[in-house]
Amino acid sequence: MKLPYSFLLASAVLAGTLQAGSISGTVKAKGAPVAKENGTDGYASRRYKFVEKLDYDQFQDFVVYLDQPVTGGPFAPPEKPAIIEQKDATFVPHVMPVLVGTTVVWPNQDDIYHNVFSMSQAKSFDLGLYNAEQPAKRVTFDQPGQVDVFCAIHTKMRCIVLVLTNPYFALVDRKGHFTISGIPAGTYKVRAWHERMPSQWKEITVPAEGDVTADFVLSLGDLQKY
Amino acid sequence: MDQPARRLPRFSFQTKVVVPVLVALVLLPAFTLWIVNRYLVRQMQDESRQALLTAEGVFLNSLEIRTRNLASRFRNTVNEPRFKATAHLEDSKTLTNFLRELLDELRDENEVILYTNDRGELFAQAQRDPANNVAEFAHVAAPIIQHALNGELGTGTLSTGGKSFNIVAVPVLDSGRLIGALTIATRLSETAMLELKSLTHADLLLYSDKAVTASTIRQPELPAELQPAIAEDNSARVILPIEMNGEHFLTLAGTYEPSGPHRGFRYVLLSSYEQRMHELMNARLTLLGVSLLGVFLSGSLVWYLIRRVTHPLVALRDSVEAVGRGDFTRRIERFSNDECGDVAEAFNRMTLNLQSSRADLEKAVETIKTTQAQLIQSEKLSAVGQFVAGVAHELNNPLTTVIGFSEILQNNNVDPETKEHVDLIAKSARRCHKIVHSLLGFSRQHEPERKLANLHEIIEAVIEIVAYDMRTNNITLVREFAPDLPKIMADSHQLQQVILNILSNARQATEAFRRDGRIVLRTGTSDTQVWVRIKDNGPGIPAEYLNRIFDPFFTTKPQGKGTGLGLSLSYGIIQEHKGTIRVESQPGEGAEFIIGLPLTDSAANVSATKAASGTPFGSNPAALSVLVIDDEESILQLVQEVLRREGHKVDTATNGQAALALIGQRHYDAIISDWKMPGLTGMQIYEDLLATNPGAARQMLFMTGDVIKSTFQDFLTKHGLSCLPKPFSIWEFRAAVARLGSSR
Repeated sequence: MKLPYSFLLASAVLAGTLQAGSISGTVKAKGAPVAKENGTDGYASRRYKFVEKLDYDQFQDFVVYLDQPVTGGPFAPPEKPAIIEQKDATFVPHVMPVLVGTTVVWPNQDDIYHNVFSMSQAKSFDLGLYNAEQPAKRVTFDQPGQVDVFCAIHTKMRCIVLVLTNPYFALVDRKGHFTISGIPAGTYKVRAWHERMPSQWKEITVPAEGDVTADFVLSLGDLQKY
Repeated sequence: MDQPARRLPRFSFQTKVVVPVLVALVLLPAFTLWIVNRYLVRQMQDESRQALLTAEGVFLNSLEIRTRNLASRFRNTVNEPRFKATAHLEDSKTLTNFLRELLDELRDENEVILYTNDRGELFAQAQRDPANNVAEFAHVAAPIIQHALNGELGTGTLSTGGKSFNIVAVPVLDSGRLIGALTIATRLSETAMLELKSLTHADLLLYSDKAVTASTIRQPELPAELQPAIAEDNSARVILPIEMNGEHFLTLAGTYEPSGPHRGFRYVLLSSYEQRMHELMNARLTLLGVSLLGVFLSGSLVWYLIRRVTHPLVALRDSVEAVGRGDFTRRIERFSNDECGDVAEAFNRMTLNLQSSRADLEKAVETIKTTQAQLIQSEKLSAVGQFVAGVAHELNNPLTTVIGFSEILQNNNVDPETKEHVDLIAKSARRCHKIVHSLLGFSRQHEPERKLANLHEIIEAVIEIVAYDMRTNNITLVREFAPDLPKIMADSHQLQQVILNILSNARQATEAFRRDGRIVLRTGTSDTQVWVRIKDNGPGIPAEYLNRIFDPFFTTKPQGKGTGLGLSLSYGIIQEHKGTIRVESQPGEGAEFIIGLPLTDSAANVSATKAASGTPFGSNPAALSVLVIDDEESILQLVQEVLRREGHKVDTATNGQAALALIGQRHYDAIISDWKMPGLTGMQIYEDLLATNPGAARQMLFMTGDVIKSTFQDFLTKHGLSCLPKPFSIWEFRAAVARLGSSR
């Protein structure tokens, strides 16, 4: 935990020197526009009988990050490992954005065995089965990319480690707000990501000083039509 | 002998046939129904039983299949990496958690999942219903789990804790080493039971630990009669019928794997045969209905046919009765072109024959009656004739006396007035004599004879008889006789009869028709015949009777008046004479009978002239002694008087004995005797004399009141004697006596 703070501090110093600004805003998910039929909710129609009903408003775990090389890199990873706990047969948190080179620790808080493994391209590993009594196992992510992590014996256990190339990213909070600060002034391609939604990119010009607002709405309507 | 006839109840032909046929018609289907019913019931029971056995087979097999399915589903669960990894950990909690997750993934039916380690200890478990006693379950399922712990697949079905389960126990291997057994139990839930029910078509009930573990019947309380069958200590298979909620079931109770390694449980299959019973009932009703309909139809048909047969019989009976009563007009229509029709036709023919026979018979009877009446009439006439003959004979003696004395008186010298009276007496007496003579001639029986006869005389004789009748009925008889009519060879009596007949008929016809009757009698000759035509002016004869008038017994007169024989006999008589008789008539103008008789070639048609008379008394040259024998006093006196006047000496005798006595005393020149007398007759006297005194016999002269018969005539000619018919005139008598005297 010390790492990010120091990192932020360093950024701030850097920003101060390099005239840094910040991006803040909201991220929301929006389902595909559904034609209302018979004056009822579109999903109620028989057409969507077998469609998984999702409450897009309640989506969480959005990540906003600058999707381009940022001057000042390569950035040093934090010294302290990030922690994803295994509790009640669940990985907490579910999504964790990390800078390349960050180490993540999976401590088992349950009294049953769990397993941690991934078959993703960015990082493939298997930590094996261990319980709370045994020491927590860790992995260092040295490649950028999305790493899906599972438990071999509990199919519902899943988490995503999003390995990014720069430290200008933010995990959107429960209310949908985010703030990325310390960004060197300039125009950036900013991406809003969600595991289930198509990402949205915006050209945001970050001022030398001050905050710029960027609101994202991830919509299925943006999906490319084939 | 007189045994009382047993009284049999009378049944119509129809009843006799219809009732047995109906009885047979009813009995046969009844018997068939009974057999079919028995067969159906048995078949239903067999079917139910078979269905139940099949259901049992299906049920057991289904359990097996369920278990096998379970096995095939979970056999590979142990090979799943997650499970393998988990099992490998040999961590109870992790395993329990895993089993719980597994249970969550599975359907509701999967009730219990157990993991037993290689030591047979219950290592991890997951169950859907916390009420399950897993330890108990593990205990009960131990034999199956043991299978798995031995490295084999363990399968089975068992009941515990009020539930029934299909169980599969899979051995768990870790790198080829057996480390435990995974046991998965699927509860026989309500859905599963319904599935089984749909397969077996029977209601199911599983019973274990004194409680129903699974059932398709929503009936908490089992029928009492089922209890002993499902009692757990009864491992035998039992089939028995029960009734539940008003429905009939055939129940099969059995024990599942009673000899298996684990405790079995009782299962009960209930196959409702309500439907079958219903169908059976329907079949029975249908059969009954069809049979009744059949019986009804057949009965009706038989009845109709019998009626068709008996109807003609009844009609025939009625007609026979009618004919029996004498109604011959009754006919039966020909009902049909068969035996009945033939009978009807035969009957009709018979009736027709009977009718004509009866008519013939009646006619015959009528004829016989008529004939009888005519015979009686004819007998009566015959009797009258005989009587008339007797009367005529009796009249001859007095007439002889009257004629004789009147002639004597005529010879006496009396005054002219007296003489005139005496002449009248003599004339009347002679007329009486003629009448009597005709009556005698007509009434006497005659042998047919042929003699020369004068037709006019014959006619006159008849007229003599009928003259009185004619006169009193205002009928005029007109004679138009041809002069010099030749004599003919004929039987004058028969011809008299013919003439009399025709005259009587004419009189009867005319007298009723008019007051001025007239009958014309004409005679004449043609080339070959002598004819007589008798024409009246009566009503004539209807044309239709003309050709029947000579038929025997044909008459138009009322019964008893005419015999119908008169003209018939007349025709016969004329035929015998080789003559002709015919009738000509115009209605209203009278009738004319024409009789033709053949001419005789004999030329002896010389009319005999009467011996002239007129010789006065006392001219007799020689006195004779004469004996007169007669039973009639007046005759004796007359003869005595005549002979005395002649100068003869006369003795008299009133009978044969007295006469013979006199003849024996003296000689007589002449003996004059009556032919018929009481005591000795004239012939007997002659024969007596012929024996004793032939001379006297030769001097005999006979008198008679009768007509001289042929036998008598033969007697006379044989002995050369002569006879004097009464009444005789004194001239004839004198001549006869004179002839005797001269022959002396």
